[in-house]
Amino acid sequence: MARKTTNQKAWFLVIPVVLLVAFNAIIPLMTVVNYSFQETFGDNVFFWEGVKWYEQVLRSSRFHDSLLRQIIFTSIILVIEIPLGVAIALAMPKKGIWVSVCLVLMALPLLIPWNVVGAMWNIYALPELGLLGRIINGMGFDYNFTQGPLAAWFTTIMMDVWHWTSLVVLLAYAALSSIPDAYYQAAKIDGATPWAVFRYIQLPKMKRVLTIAILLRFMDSFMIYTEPFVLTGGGPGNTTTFLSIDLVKIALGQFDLGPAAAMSLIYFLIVLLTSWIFYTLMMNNEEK
Amino acid sequence: MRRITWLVPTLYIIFLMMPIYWLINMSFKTTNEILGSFTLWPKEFTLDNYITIFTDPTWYNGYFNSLTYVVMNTVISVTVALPAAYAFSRYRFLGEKHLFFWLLTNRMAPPAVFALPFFQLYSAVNLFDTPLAVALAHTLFNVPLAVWIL
Repeated sequence: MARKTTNQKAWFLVIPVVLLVAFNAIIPLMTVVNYSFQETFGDNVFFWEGVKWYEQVLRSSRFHDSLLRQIIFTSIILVIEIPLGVAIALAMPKKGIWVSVCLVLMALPLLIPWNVVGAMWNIYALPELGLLGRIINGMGFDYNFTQGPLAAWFTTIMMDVWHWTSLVVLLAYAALSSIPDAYYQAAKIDGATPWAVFRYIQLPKMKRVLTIAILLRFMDSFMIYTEPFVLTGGGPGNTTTFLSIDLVKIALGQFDLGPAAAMSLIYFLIVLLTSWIFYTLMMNNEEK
Repeated sequence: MRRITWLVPTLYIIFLMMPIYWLINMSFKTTNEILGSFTLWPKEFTLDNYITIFTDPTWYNGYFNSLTYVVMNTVISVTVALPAAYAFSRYRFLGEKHLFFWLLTNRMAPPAVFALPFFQLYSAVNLFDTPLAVALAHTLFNVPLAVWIL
């Protein structure tokens, strides 16, 4: 890459982005901040409420429950998708025509719009009419994702694994194929076991992309909305109501502006903080 | 050993293809067959579902809306992101790094957080319920990504 020159006039090139993002991000964000400190009874009359909404949200068991569900969901997703993705990437063929066939087929789920994924899994998992529902019921389990909380969780997680494991596979595979053959030959001469090859050659090479994969999967699964909304609508009961779904229910369903705004900000801060910690750790590791 | 490594991607691809197959399968069935019986492939192969989609305006208007939205979104994103990406990659300037991270934070923001204020902001400027509003709202998430990738 060419060396960068210092040029303050570059600001003129950035101005359009700054204006657009400011219109789209700062105005709404300030509106949220505004609401989160005030009470309204309609007609644009507002009363200063201080941190009342924050206390209410932080103390409400509803928020605790959906936050807990969200954390469990995200952890399960990460625990399944990352090792599974790495394992599949390791088992992929190294060269030949099958590489491109595999890659294209695996990339397919990534191209499908989120609401289509939800609708698709809905018909796929229906206990009577769907293929998956039939198979599981045929094996002797009582499976109905619209009624059983466990089945709803299982389906939501399967759906996310189906949709996003390929991303981990593609990233890990890209990292693996950048390892020169000489490394493997050296390992062979030293009589390294497959585990040693994985631990000391492949894993260090994949570390960087895996951090990115974990970060992306964390962010996206923590903000998941469309897919469970289409699949289960947050039910049965509230068992698959994750943070986003709960937030939209409060904000647009009940029009409780104050609590919704306070919750939005807490939610945003959680994601931002975790991502920032990840980002800093990642950068620190690279400098070493 | 060789056979096992070959098996893993194959099983995974079968796992990936099954819902897609089911979707395609369903699309060629009649409503009666979908609701009435369980069949692995369409018994009465029908194109009626596709004919409905392309002839009934309530269905194909959806596609026009999507297309308008995609075109607008792409045009807006690229026109504003291109000069910025150029500036970020060529020049060093005051506040460069902070600005870049700030753009990225918008990518991290949960879309649900913005649902409520967008609703009101666009109602206020009379944009609500138009494709332009959808396109504008989405630029919030796409522009940072575009700057990042370009």
